[in-house]
Amino acid sequence: MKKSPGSIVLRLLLVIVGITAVNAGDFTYKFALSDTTPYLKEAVVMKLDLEQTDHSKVLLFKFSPKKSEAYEFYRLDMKEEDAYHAAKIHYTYLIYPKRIGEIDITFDLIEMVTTDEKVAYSFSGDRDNVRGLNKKDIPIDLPPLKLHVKPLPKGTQIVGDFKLDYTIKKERASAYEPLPLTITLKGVGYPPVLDQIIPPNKDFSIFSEKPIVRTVRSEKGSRCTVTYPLALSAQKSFTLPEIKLKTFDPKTEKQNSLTIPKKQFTVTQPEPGTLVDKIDSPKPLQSDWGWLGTLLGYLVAFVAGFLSAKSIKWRPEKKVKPENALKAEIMATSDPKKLLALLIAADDRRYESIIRKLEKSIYSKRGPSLKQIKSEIDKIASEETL
Amino acid sequence: MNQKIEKLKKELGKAVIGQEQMVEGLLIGLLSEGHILLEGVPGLAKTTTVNALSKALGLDFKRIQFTPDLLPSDIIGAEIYDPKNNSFRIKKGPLFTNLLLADEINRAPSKVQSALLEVMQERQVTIGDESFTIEEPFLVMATQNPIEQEGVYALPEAQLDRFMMKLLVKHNSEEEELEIMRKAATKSFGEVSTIFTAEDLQAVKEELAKIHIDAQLERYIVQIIASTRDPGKFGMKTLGSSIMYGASPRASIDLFKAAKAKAFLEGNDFVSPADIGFVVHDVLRHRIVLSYEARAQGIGTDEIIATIIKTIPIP
Repeated sequence: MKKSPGSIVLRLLLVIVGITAVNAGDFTYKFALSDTTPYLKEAVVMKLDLEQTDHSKVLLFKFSPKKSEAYEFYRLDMKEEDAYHAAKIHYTYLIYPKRIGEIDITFDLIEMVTTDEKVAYSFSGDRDNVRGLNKKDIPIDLPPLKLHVKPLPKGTQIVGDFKLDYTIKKERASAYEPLPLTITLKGVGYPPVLDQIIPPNKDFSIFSEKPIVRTVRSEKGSRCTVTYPLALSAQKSFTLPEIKLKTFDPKTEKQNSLTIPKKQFTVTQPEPGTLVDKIDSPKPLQSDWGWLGTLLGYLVAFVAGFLSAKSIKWRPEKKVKPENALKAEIMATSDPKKLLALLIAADDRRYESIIRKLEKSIYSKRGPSLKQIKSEIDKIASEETL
Repeated sequence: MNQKIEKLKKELGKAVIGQEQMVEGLLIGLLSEGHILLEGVPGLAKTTTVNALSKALGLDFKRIQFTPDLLPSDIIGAEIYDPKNNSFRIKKGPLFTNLLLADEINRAPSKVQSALLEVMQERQVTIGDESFTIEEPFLVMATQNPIEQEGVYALPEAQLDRFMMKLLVKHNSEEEELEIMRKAATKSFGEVSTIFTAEDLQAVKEELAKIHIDAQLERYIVQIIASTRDPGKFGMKTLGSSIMYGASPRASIDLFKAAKAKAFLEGNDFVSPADIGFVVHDVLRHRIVLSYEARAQGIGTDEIIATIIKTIPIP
């Protein structure tokens, strides 16, 4: 793919046209492209210089390429020269075309016109009293820059000048044990982030993480280091087939191949008993009668609780004596003083008159006999039981 | 003088139906200068009885309803600022009376109970820097709800001991209740008249002091009280585990005085064993502190007193 003399002339013409300054009223702008006929995903450096020509105003600018699926862009630099009423801004962008054929790079540019007084007022605020800059925004229609994007050679996976490095930590493992593998692509070009760096294979499984991408962009392009952390796993020994990644360097227009050679991995079968995962080698099914023991335990606890609640021992002793207990005690007593004590102990006002009679009988040897008194007590006690 | 006592009982009967034991207990307290604690559920004419007694005796009567937010100064009195004279003056509380009804004493917190019970013992009140003696007679009749009720503060044992007797007020009989119901419906409760004077009361007290009590009965009283402290010594080993603390010497004094008053009310000039027996339950039931075992087994102080009476030989 050599460059023809015609294409070189066309490219030079486009670049020259690009660098011609254009007057846009209050200011001039000047685009410069490093290349107008890049390859797909080839870095193109775009520069824009804005220079104020009407020095009576205060001019500010807001510029950015419009987002598009046809290209990617990254701002590399922006330099401003703050001369009085003479703004000069220099933008540098890195653009990667993402579609072949003619593509337009379009832009958003807003010219902001204000005065010194308004700028001074906006600066007069403080942290608690922020004052916005009062300005007039004028959108500027910039003509798109056209790129003629050339296709890449067939089979190209990586664009740029890259080198491949890989690390295999171990080549021998037990069944389904992971075999770590790290592939690193390092060089200058479009970041080589591939969906599948190792094609799927039925002999082994591939476990992958998101690739780690480190990029430093400059006018020379993107210096990238892309690392693929991978792990392979298989039930039995397998061979990782040779992996070839086709590259194309637009600068030299040369194709190259980055290769990971064929590699044999040995997988040994572990003893089933040593496996942590018992699913693939479960114990033989056995009858589990544990539920019966639990059930019996509950039944025993229930019966024990029921019996203990029923048990007489747990009940407080009945303190209520039979209604005729006092009567029986009185009738069994033959000692008048004992009988007097029993009646006093009863603390019953109904026996008060009997107590007085009994007392008289004891101490003054007068009054009714013990038999008569007992008969009276019996009468009162009988009334009580009735 | 006994005729006057009988007349007094009759006068009280105009306002109080039944409850002879309570009326008699209050009279014993009055004659013996002992404070009375009445325990019973609401509606048993405790307050009515005390009110009627004060009217019949012609004594100054005040009532304090104890509540949880009552303060000691509410009953004792306080020093208050008089802006007219630009000085402080003493405002005496309702405690300065002859008959004080402390209604629902166990509804008030312990600091108020303590304030009252201190006065009961010392018969003197200090407000600010000044001390005041409470005029004789001074009798506190406190009512309390059973401690099983909600929102009550149990009186501490040391304070209970200052009450001469704890009377359990029971419900009236059916016949008595019928009479109460009819009288209440027709508003035909009689008006209690004053039939006693302070001089009469003094004369009664003097007569009471002359009541004879035999030395053997004095010993009998001491034995009863001592047996609450050491039941084993009197052949009641089983009672030992039921009693945590026995009655204090104040119990002996009060039993002695109450027995004499009971004998006087019976119209006797000597104390008989039965007189002691009739008041022993009321004097002792709040002074015996039951053990946890006794409470768990449902044993009450009345059962313990009955056992003691049955065991200690009557002279």
